[in-house]
Amino acid sequence: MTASYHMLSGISAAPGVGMGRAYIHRKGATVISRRRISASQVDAEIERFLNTLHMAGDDIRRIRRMVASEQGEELAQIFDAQLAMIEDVQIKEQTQQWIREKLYSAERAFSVTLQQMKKMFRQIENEYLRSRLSDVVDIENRVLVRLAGGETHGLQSFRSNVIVFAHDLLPSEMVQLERRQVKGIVLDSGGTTSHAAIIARSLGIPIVLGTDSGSRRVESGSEVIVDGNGGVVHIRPGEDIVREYRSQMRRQQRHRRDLDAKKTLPAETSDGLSITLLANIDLPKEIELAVDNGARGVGMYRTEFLYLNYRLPSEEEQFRAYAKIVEAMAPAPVTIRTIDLGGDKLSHVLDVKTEDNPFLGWRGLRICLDEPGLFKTQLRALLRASSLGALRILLPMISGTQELVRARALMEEVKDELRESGEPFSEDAELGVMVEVPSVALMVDRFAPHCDFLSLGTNDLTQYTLAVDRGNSKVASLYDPFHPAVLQLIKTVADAGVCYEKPVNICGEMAGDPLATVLLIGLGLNRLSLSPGLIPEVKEIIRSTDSAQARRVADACLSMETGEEVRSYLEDVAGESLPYWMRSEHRA
Amino acid sequence: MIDKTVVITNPLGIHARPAALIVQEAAQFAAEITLSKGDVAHINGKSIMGVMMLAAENGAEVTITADGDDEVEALEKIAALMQSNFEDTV
Repeated sequence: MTASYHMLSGISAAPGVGMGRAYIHRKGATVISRRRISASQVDAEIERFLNTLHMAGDDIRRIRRMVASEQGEELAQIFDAQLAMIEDVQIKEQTQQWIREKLYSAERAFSVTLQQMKKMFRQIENEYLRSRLSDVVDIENRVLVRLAGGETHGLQSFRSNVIVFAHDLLPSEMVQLERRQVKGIVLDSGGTTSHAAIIARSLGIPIVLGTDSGSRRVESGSEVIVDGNGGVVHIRPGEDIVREYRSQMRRQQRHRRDLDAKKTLPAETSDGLSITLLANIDLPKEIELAVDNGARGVGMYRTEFLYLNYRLPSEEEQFRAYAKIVEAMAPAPVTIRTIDLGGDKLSHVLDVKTEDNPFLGWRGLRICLDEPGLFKTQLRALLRASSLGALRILLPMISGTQELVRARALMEEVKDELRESGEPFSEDAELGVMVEVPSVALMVDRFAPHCDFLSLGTNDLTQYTLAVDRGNSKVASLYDPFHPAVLQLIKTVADAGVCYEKPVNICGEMAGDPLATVLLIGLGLNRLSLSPGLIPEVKEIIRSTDSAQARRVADACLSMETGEEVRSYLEDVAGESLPYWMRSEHRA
Repeated sequence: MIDKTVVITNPLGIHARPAALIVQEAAQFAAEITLSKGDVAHINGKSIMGVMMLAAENGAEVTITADGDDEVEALEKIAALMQSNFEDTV
C-alpha cells in the first residue's frame, strides 16, 4: 500500500466514470472472544443467541423486501437460501450444545459450529452446492456482527460518494448497492460475463474487474477515480488527473444531453437505409431502460439470470418473467435465448463435472438436448408467453443442423402438449440459431432453410474462430472481433440472410461498439442488438453514415491482414464522428 | 423405526431448493428423520445444511429412516417427495 498516486488496470465491464472515496468491503475476520461463561449464564446466553438469530433473520427479510420492491422478485430470491440456513435446526442445536456443554460464549459456539459446516461444505463434490458456501459466510458475518451488538452495515448505508473495492461481490451484495452513493466498483476478480458485471451494467455503475490485488492496494477513504471506459482506476490522483476527468465527466453529461435530445429520431443512414436497433437485456426490469433509449424490440434476453438462484425456476416463474417482457414490448419483437449454461457462465447450476475444456464442453443447447425435461419446461414457458406478443426463441451453442432439427422436434412436442391442455400459444413463434461456432457460419446455407432467423454472437464466434479464451490474460490480446477471419464469417452469414430471406441479428458486444457500426452496416447487417445504454451513441453514428460508403469500408476491411489494421483504418474513417471517449487520444 | 431406499430421479439431484422442500416436509412430523447415502450417514432430515451436504445427485440411492409415532406417514411422504422432480420440470 502506498500513500502516493498509483493506477490499477483491469477490465472495463460497465462504462462511465465515477469519483469518490474508497470503501473496502472485506468479509469475515470478526474477532471472536475465547471467554467462557459461567454455568448460571447458560440459559441467558442461549436466549441471547436465539434472539440474535431471529434479528438476523429479520435483517435478511428486510433486505429481501427492499430488493424485491426496488429491483424485482427475481433478484430478491438470492436471499432465500440464506433465510433457510438461518432457520436451520442443526445450526441451532449444535450452537446451543457448545454453549451448554463447553460454556462457550454464543459468538464462539456459533463460530465453531459454522467452522464445521464450512469444512463439510468444502468437501462436497457438487460444484453448485459447494458454491453455496458464500451464503454460509454471509450469514456467519451477519449473526456475529449482531451478537457483538452491531448492525450489519451492508452496502446500502453509505452517506457520501464511495467507490466500493472488494475481492469479489456476491449477487446478494451487488443488489444492495445504493445507487445514489456508490459511484463505482473495483473488483480483484471477475470476468465481463460475471454476475457482478451484469448487475453493475443494469444499475449503470462503472465497474472495473480483474485488478488482481486492487482491494489490498488501496487505503480506505482514499480519493479514487474509476474509469469504466478505459478499464483503469486512479488512486489518490493528482490535480491534473482530477481536472482531466472532471472535464471528461462534464463532456460526458453534455454529450448525453445532446443524445437525449435526439432520442426520437429514427436510426437511419444519411441515404435513408433503416437500421433496427434492439436491446440486449439480462433482467426484465431493463425493458424500461431499453424503451427509454429508443430500442425497437429486445434482440436478446439472456435467461441465465433466472437460473442463478438457489433453485431452478419453475415454469410459472419463467412464464411470468417472459410474459412481462413480451407484453411490455408488444407489438415489437422480443428474442429470448434459451439457457446458455456452462463454460465460464453458470456451470454450477447443473451438475457438470469439471471439464478440461469447458468452452468446448457440455453447454448451451447440448445440455438442453440431453436434459429434455429441463429444456421443455423452458420451451413451455416461452411458448405460453408467445401468445402475448411477438416472441422469438433463440438457441445457443449449436454446431450442427441435427441439433436444430432435434430442438425443433422438442418444440413441436411441447406445442402438442399445450394444444392438448388448451393453453394458448402463438403458432408463429419463431425459432432461430445463434451463430457462434464457425461451423454454423460456414454452413449457413444449410442452417437457413431450417430456422426462422439467425443471430450472430460475435463474442463466442471470435473466441472459437481465433481459438482464444478472452478471460486468459496471457492470450487475451489475441482476442479481436475485428480480425478479418471473423469479419469474413459475419459477411457469409449476412449474405445468406439476404439470399434465404431470413433476418440476421448481431448481438455480441461488437454491435454496441461505435467503432464497428459503419463496418457492420457495410457488411450488410441491419439489425443490431446492444446494451440499452449504448443505443443513442450507435444511432448517432448510423445517422451520419452513408450506406454505399459503408460497403466500401467493409470491403476494404475484409481484404486486410490483421484486426489491428482494421481498427486503425476504422478510426481514421470515423474520425470526428466517434464519441469523444472512443477517439484515440482518449483510449487507454 | 422403519426405512426405505429411493433413487433420486431429478436430473439436477437434490440441490438447494429440493433440500428446502424436504426439510419443510420433514418438519411436519414428530418422527426423527435421518438420511444416508453411501458412507454419508445419519444426516438430519430436518436440517437444510444436512440435506444439502448429502449432495445426492441424479441416480444416487438415498436411505430414509423414520423413527417416531408418525413414522409410517412421514416415510411415505418424504420418499414420494424425494422421487419427484421437485417442481423443477413441471
